[in-house]
Amino acid sequence: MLQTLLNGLCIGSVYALFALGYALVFSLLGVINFAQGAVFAVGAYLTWSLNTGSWGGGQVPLWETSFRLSFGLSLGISMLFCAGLSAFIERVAFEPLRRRRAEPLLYLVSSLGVAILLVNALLLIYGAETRNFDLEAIPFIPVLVEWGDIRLRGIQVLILAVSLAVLALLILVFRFSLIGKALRAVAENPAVAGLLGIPVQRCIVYTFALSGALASLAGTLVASGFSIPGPHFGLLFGLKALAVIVLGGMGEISGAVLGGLLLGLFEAFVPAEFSGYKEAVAFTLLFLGLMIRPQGLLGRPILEKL
Amino acid sequence: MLEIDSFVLITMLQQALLGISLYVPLMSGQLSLASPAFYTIGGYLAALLSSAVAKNYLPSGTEIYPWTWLLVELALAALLCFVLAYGMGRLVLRLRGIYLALATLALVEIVRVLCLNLEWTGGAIGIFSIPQIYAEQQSYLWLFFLLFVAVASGVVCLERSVHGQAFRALREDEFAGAAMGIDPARCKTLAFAFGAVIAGITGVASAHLLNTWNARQGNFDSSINLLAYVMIGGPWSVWGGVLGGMLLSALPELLRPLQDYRLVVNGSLIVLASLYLPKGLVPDRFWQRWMKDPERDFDPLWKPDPWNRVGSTDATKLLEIKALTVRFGGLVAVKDLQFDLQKGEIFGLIGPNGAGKTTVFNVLSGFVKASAGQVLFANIDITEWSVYHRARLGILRTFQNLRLLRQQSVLDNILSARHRFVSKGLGSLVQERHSARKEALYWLHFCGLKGQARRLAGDLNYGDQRRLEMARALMAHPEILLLDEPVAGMNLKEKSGMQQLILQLRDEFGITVVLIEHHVPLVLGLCDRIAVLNFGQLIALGSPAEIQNHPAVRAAYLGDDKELG
Repeated sequence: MLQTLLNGLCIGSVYALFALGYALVFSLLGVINFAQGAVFAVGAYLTWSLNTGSWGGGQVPLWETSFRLSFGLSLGISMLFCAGLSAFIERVAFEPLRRRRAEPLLYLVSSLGVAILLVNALLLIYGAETRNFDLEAIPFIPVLVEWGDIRLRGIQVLILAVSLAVLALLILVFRFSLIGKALRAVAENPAVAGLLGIPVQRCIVYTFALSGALASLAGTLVASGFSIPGPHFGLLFGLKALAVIVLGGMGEISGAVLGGLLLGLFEAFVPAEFSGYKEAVAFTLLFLGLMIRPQGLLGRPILEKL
Repeated sequence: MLEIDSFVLITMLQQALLGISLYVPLMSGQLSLASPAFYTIGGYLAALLSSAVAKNYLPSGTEIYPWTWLLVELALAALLCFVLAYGMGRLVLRLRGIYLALATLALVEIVRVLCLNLEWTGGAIGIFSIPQIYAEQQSYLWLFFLLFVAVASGVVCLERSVHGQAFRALREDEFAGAAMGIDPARCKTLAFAFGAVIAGITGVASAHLLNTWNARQGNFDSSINLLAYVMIGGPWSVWGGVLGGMLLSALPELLRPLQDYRLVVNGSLIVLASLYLPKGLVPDRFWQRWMKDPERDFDPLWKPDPWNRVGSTDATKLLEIKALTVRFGGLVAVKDLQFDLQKGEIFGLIGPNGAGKTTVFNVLSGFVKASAGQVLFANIDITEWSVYHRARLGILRTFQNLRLLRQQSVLDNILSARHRFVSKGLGSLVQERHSARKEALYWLHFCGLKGQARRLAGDLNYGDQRRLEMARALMAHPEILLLDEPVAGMNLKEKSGMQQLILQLRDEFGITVVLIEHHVPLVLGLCDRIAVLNFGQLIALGSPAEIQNHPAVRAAYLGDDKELG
């Protein structure tokens, strides 16, 4: 019981981390950045390459180098890179549309285009094989943590600790800092926020960068905890993250955290004989959530003015 | 010259069909990504049924699966998808925009996981050796071609029909559509179900084509592809989806030299198209520019007969409002309001800002529910009736803040209000549009919009937009016309023109008019009776002369005698 609970919290906290990026962008622009799922995969592959020193393996021949960085350093570089990548995506696929005041659907299409492009670029480079992290090489982390009846893999403990720490930090920042206030103002009304002297464009770019870094972190944690089953896993996780933010309330930061943890728990409690249906849990929750409470668990009802 | 083999053509037609299946719900403003789910369901139905038929009913050794059974499969798949979608539609379609897209995307994934795990769908392996209709695979071109022609022409008919008009009206403004007598729930459910049917029959044909069927046929990726087809082709007409589907599915073949990079190129093209082709390859109103001027059909000698839907009720009370109270949370917007309307009168509703006048209109037209009290129309209790239902009964309104279909032509705006006359059968798909146009042109001229038929409603000046709202309401043959500030923003000359128009409506067509207006001379000169509201309460009711000298009215507008000193 407690074991399942911890397993659920572990994966749930990663969902929460990843979904937070979607929720941030949605709260700011009212659009969904589908490319996020691809950035997640890019982050996972980059950390893997930096950490293991192997590059390529798809159309590009596998290239083993002796240049290997520690897990933490690889993760840091990968997060920085993905932050830049995400900001770049904002520049090419979002900013032009925003300047034109295009309808929200077009953002969906253009970010999907970016996602297709990135995932297939990864496929060209790395191929579709499963990649595993060399967990032995991560220092300070025991392989197995036993505590009474409960057995957790060391990497799970790491995932749980890192995710919860980052989540707590971000929630504190958004709630109490000036940056958080500025972001909330931009989310409420960009034009007025601009008049009040808040650099709207910079806020948006930073938010994208942050969501990119979070995607890379989540991708790396999932990949190290399980494996990278191929570039498409980013899109699948992206869909799950969408389920999470709908469940918690679109654009609600604490909602994303709650939704992520809930999804992790629900998945963990699927009985083993129905494990084939585990994939459907997120989508069933998404569907039922929208039917029963379209504004999400923590969202405010959407009012339409006549 | 590029060599395009028949398999590429088949794929193009297949993807064009799926593109149409996404476009049809979009016609009524719903972005539903559910097509791949119904495509999968249709395919499984064909696979299971034809395997069973081949095993049990056909003489062994039959190589070619008979056409008649294929037709049965198509009919069954259409029926199944229609029923499923219709049942689901009522649930799902309360959602809008991105929420609907996500819910339908979830549906696709749920269907996929179910098919992957269920026993009778063959699990991850799927179903093999589905009977073939043709000996050679390229002959399937005929099947897909026939399907495509049938579906495309059906959708074109739908687009041109009064239903298509209703769909487009809902896409632009659901409230305005409902106020003109369009049933939003029914139209949206139908559009969703039609889309599902198209996807389902495409699935049937594809299962036979591919010879094998599994859960991978419809997934997230295919939803996204369909969305890209329609957005790149242009979401405004069926040809957008068709063109997008054909181009994007042929693209990998055209890019064969770039074989390995084609999906990367595909992704880049989608990004570029959404950035630089925001309206799609086939823009909105693409064909309209070649259409002749519709006003040439205008017949200056013809005018519609007066209508009377209430019948000759001896009671002169057309509308009764009894003890009406409306609360928004703690705020009481209208309190204990009571008055009635005589047939054929012009009734003014005045009062200071925030007195609750528009709320009364909203209650009468059904947009706001009464917290207490009753509204009777010709002795029928309509307190609980929905907006479109009341519009069909003959209670039509204009909006203070103008709710026109801004992206559609003036004539189409007026035509969107003819929905209440439409028969429900299949005949309505091909119904003669001539008489409706004739009448629409009459109202266009009646309201002084001569020469504007082809302009976009959003491009009209403010006064003309108000006149257009009125023309649109008249097209629906109102018994009671609720005019919310009909002369706001008009100059003196226009105001007196509007005054003449309103009188004419009453005298020639017997329409009962209720108007909210701040321009006092107009109200006093035009109305038979006037009700004055203040803070949601009726403070005076009577003839213009009575109202003019009523102490409570003077107090409400000008302040107390005490305050005046």
